[in-house]
Amino acid sequence: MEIPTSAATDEVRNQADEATLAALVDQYAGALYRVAFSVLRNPADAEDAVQEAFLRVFRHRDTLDEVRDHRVWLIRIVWNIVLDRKRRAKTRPETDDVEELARVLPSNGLSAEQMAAAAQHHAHVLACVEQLPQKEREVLQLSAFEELSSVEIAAVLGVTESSVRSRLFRARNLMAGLLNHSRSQR
Amino acid sequence: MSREMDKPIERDSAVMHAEGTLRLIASLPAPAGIEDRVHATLALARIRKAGRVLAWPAAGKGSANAWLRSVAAAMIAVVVMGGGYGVFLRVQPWQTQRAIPMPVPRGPAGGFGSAGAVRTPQTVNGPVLTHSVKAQATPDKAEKKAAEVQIANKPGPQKKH
Repeated sequence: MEIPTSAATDEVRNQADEATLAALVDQYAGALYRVAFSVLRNPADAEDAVQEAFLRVFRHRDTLDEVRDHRVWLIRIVWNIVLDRKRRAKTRPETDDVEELARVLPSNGLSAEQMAAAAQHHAHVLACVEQLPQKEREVLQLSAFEELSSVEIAAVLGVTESSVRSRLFRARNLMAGLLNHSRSQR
Repeated sequence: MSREMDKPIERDSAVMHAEGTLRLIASLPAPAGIEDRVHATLALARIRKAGRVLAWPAAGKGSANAWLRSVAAAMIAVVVMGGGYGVFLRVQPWQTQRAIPMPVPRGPAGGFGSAGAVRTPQTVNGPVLTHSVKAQATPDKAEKKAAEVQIANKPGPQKKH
């Protein structure tokens, strides 16, 4: 039996890494896009973030074996990318958000007026979310992903599960206050 | 009492409604073909990585490639040294004796001659009149002629014969 050389072993390992990476793209590109879009709220920016995330994975593909949960690991990568991008991006006017939401959200048989009203409402809610402190806002945004448990949110954010729970509690309280305040001002 | 009881429920429903917005956004489908585009990006990155000259980091992984790296480094060194020696052979210090001397300039100061040209300075513009001046009594041709005739007819000192 011929003993494979280290070069051949490297080649085999590279091919395995490439196959794993391709499978990850097929499996999680959509989920990563949704995570990116929930923060950036722009389809092109969200897709750019996903591409960048997979390029990072490609650069460190030799460490794929060491990763326990690929899904959480990938979400963490894309989460850091979108937060970084959002920090660097200029703040857009609220009207842009409303128009973008009206364009992106599903119509579900609503009339144009109803669609516009719904988009206005969603934009208002998102404006309230933006007013939350960063830690609370992040937990609230991640909790909207039903496929993410509190343990996984904790892993994405690099905190304990109990702090995720307490942050979520605080976020909901603050959110209620903000919504109540805006309603009383109308 | 009942109003106070309703408040937390109302508040919770408002928050739940707000979270519904976040859930709605989180559940938006990804655009079609995003996987293909990511695959294409990765393929491009792979090509760029493979196109790197000598790919040193990849070669450094296996110990079996160490001798190959040494041979490549030695070959590069030989090529560089050979090139340097070739340049040294072609350009030698005693070759400066074969240099063609520059022609001696012919003119006294060198450069081009004047070819007998005389420089004529540009005429200075005269003063410009800002207001009209009375015409001076300049004798015109007829007056001049009359004056000359008058002078000619004037009896001067007669020559003595």
